[in-house]
Amino acid sequence: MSAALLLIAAATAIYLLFHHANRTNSPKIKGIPEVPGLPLLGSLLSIGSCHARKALEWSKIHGPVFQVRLGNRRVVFANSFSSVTNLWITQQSALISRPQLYTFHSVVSTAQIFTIGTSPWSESVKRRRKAAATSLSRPAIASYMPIIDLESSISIRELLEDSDYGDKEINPSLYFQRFALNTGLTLTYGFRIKDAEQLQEIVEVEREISNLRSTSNNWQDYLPILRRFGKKNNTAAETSKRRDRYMDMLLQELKRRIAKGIDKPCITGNVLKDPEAKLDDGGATYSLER
Amino acid sequence: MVSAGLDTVPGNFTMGLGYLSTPHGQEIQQKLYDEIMAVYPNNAWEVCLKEEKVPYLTAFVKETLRFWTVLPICLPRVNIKDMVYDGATIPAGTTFLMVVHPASSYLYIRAKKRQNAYAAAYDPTHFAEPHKFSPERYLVPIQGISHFAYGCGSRTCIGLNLANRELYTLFLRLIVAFRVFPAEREEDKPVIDALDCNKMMTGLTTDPKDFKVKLICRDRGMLEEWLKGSEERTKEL
Repeated sequence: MSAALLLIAAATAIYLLFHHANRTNSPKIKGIPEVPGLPLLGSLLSIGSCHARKALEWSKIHGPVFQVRLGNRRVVFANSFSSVTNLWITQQSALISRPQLYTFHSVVSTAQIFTIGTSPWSESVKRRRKAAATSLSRPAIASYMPIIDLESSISIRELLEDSDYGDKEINPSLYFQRFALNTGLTLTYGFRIKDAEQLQEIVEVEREISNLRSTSNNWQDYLPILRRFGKKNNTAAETSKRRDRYMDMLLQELKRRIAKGIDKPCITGNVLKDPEAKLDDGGATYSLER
Repeated sequence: MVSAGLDTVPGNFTMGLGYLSTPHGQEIQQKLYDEIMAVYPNNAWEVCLKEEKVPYLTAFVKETLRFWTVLPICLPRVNIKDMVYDGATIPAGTTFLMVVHPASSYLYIRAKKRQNAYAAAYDPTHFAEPHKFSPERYLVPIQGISHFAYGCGSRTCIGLNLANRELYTLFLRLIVAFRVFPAEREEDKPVIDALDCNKMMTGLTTDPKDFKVKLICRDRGMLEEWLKGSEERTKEL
């Protein structure tokens, strides 16, 4: 009798454990094929290091649209032109928000407000996106062309000189990073950075942050238990600090220029000078990403 | 704003220039140069700031954006209302990812044999010969969206006009300034495959593996003049 009870209790416990281990943030979707996964982990292991290729393999078995459990998060993958068009374009008013991922949104972004591109949908994002769209519209871009004139000339001059006028083979990547960074800086703060070390620091940190936003580079996004001990957390926090340092430097430099009256027209400058144009509750840390 | 386009725009330049150094790239850069010269025999450097009238260059930029789609998995989305796909209801609050390009030619061949669906930008039902780098595909009108490099739908990249102008202008200037040749040593040449070219495949964006190219000035005197002109125009900046 007690043995039977014990058996039932054990079975219930196993059932509950299993049930719990397969629970996801959003419910299983009826009618969309599911990639089988392990308890707790789901398909985190099998997705491997090249997600795009794994997704292709899955699409051969399950079709162009399927659901995958990544830890406690359920994700719908769309792989074909027509399914992406249907979900992303035809139904775009529904598919308008972003998930909050632990690493990017809680660890990296603590000091900075979330960016327009990565925030969950809200009235504030809607407003900011509209404001940003104005400053990035075609007519606005036409007025920024002097910046592109300058930056592209500087890149070509540097490529010319650093390759000894064509004698030496050259790795072009660095020059394009500087081009993009200085174009963005001039637009946002009205000045560019010449110091190679400073440029390198920003390029490096932004690259690191991009990796911290990656879809499954960060298991702690999908397995909450990992957040208690994680080297990743420390890296993320450290990176976040490094970013705060130069973001603050940039803002202070702009404020100094405004005080001296030597600032150039720029997006952050407009925000600082005109409170009506304020894009955020976070104040001047107007930051814009995808 | 600082990081907007910082890890995406450069990847397109780096891989596009890398491609120009390949044997097929030699043909493409000759054609690009000829087309630019046909439209602007002597003032391309400056006029590119005002207009975009070299269709083959626009096509080259689009093909670069499509071929390396530098966010291979895009940024995740969440639906705020229920959605319907193929009769199934997807409840609000579900996470979505679009897979833009599992661009391995090996997998492509297998997929072709099995007649299976695969990723959006490399979908052969939409793009003929998706694994071929071919600006020509954009010289004819395309039905629907031309590529997913900026995502699509309601949260499309907001900086796409800026990025397009940056790409068009700097590519034009690079092409009129230099002829691009491959590095001598095999190991210094670029990896072209859109996924294998990435230093860190689990990263959000493509960070191209290092490679080298040889840049030979087409006309040094002319280039110096152009550069001086730009410096003169922008000395206020």
